[in-house]
Amino acid sequence: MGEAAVRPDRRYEADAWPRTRRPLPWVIAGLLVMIFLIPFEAVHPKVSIGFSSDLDRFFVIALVATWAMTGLIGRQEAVTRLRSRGWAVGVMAFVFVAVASIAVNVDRITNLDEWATAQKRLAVLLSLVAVFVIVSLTLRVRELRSFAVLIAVLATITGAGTVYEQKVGYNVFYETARTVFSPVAIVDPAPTEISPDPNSPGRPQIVGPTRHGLSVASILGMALPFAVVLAAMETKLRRRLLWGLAACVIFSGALVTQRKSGAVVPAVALLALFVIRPRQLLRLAPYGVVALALGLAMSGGTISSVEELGNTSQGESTKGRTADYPAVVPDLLSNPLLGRGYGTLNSARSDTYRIFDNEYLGQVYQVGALGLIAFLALILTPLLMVRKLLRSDDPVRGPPALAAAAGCLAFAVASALYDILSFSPAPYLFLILAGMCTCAAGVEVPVRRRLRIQPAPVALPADS
Amino acid sequence: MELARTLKTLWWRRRLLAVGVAIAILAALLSVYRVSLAPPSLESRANEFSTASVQILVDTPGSAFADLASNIEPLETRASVFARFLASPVAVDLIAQRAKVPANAIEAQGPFDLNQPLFVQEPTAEQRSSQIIGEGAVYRLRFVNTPELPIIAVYAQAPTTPEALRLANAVPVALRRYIDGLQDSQDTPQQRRVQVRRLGTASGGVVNKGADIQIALLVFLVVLVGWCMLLVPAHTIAQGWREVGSPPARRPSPRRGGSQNGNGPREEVPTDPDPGKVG
Repeated sequence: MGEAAVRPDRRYEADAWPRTRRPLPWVIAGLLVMIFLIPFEAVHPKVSIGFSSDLDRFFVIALVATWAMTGLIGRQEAVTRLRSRGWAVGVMAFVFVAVASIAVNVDRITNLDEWATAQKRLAVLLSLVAVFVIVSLTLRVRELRSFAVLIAVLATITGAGTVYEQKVGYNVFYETARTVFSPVAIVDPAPTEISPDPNSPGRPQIVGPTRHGLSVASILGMALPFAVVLAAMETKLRRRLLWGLAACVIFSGALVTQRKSGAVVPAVALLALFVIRPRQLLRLAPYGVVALALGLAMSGGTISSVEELGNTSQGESTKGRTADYPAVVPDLLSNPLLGRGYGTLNSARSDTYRIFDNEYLGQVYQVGALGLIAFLALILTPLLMVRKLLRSDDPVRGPPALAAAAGCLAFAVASALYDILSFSPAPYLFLILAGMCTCAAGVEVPVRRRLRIQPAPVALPADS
Repeated sequence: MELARTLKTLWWRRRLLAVGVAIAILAALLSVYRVSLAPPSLESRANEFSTASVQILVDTPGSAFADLASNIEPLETRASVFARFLASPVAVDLIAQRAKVPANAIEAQGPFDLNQPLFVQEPTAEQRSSQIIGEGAVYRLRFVNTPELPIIAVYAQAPTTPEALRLANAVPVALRRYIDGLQDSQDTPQQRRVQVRRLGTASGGVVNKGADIQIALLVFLVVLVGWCMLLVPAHTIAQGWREVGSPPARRPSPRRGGSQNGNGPREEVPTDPDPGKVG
């Protein structure tokens, strides 16, 4: 779908986040703040909403309620936003396969007491879908750059906090959340674990605002392209340096988690950027060298995640990963198309539970071959939407689309490294990025106002 | 406004929406009932079940727990062995006889060593294969034994609460009978005999009450939303098709087939088959 031939009016263009009174973009910005700064999986509000009481559910409910209110009682917009054909195909296919897998296996799921787990996982999936749909329907093209800046800034704060956590052993995100939310919620203790002895066995737990190091490494890896693209597109040297520094902090934050994903995910995101826009991004090469030196300095002279790539002593992790492949064969053969049911892996059941260090494998196990295809469609749809924009010179659509697409690609790679859907931050961020891709690929057409034609006065013959 | 527009479109297509509601109801029914055409019947899928639990203490005739001088370590080892034995086909047969349920309808599992690393606990392909075979069993038994205690926890699952209670209560009786038989056959002196004591009677109840409604509601909503998602683009396509197919001047009135300008029905004007030919 090409760009609109008719440009929207000026008032519409000026009404873009953050200079807007529309509530939805602000709620989406709040959601991004929650993903990057609040350990929302560890914050349990004292109010229950029936199926779950995690903080993100409250946020999603607020988002859906705001969207519904705006949709029903809001003013008609001056612009109709048309999205590319098939923008929601991946998401909807995945939801349908997930529900179908449960419906087909309902006898077995209830017999094995897996319904409660499946119900919770479905609630998370529906929350994710709601976020994607609302972001896709709400964001305006003019707002994409502002949201790109927000993501880069938030990721920089997360990266800095994670580096601080690694240096001092103090998790600023958890401690702040405990102070802020203590009257209304219970905040779990930070899972941070740093041994004072550097030679002690086992990897330290550096988690940032998430539950696991892999999760924080993923969101930082997915956000890194935004800082890099903003640096590349900036014309002023001072700003370029600032964005370069931000990218450096984000990369360092991912690396200090001492997970292989902390090196692989950002590296893939950067590689994607360089492959798609080599000319623009190669200009950043000198800054990249400086950033690497800074990153080394920040992480104490060693980049532990990179060391982890060559570390073969992680016997249990490697054994667990390799054992996953033959272990899924019986389930795959017995339920090849729809698997054993979405979200039926219950961590409380030691006889059947298995941690899949690969989300694709986990999907094959739970939702079968159709589920895997739907999951791939979910990841690839936003990339296909923006494929024509990736090399576009349109400053409004091109750079945010490029960064969001690289972030989605980083998610695709991270999915191959751990069970990414078990941790909420990365899927939420992915679906926001997918929504940004959908928005960038859309067209904004001014609404043709219906003219109220007054009947022309009929000239009656004058009375004679 | 997108939401309002979508709702409006659905209202225009309300007949098709009603068809969607009917399909969603059918799908929801199929998710909780098994439908048979020959003979016609509607059988519940039994998505609700009950569980019951009971604890078994492995003890000495004089109760080692009442005597501070007694060493209970040998009892812990025996409890661990008995817990493993209870999951064997021999024990399952005895339990089935006692509980009056078919032995092949019982799936027994456990105990699981929770102190092992996770990758050791995770089921192998062979273990999964046998688990998959037993997943359809309506009667399930799970045995849990903590290595530091001579206690076996028994968790039973059955379609109804009385059946679950009967199954759980059958376990200590079956174990006691088997061990007594073994001790009788080898003439074990009374004071050296292992005592299997049931700690109270089994307690239980319905576990997933309301699962049927939740599942049916979920299927209904997803099918209906899916139908609506097909309906909205279909409406747009149909509208576009109509606009392309008929020239604006000749477009028939949506209501009566005539013009609505107050001048009555439009007259059919015969078109000249060949305008160039003047007759």
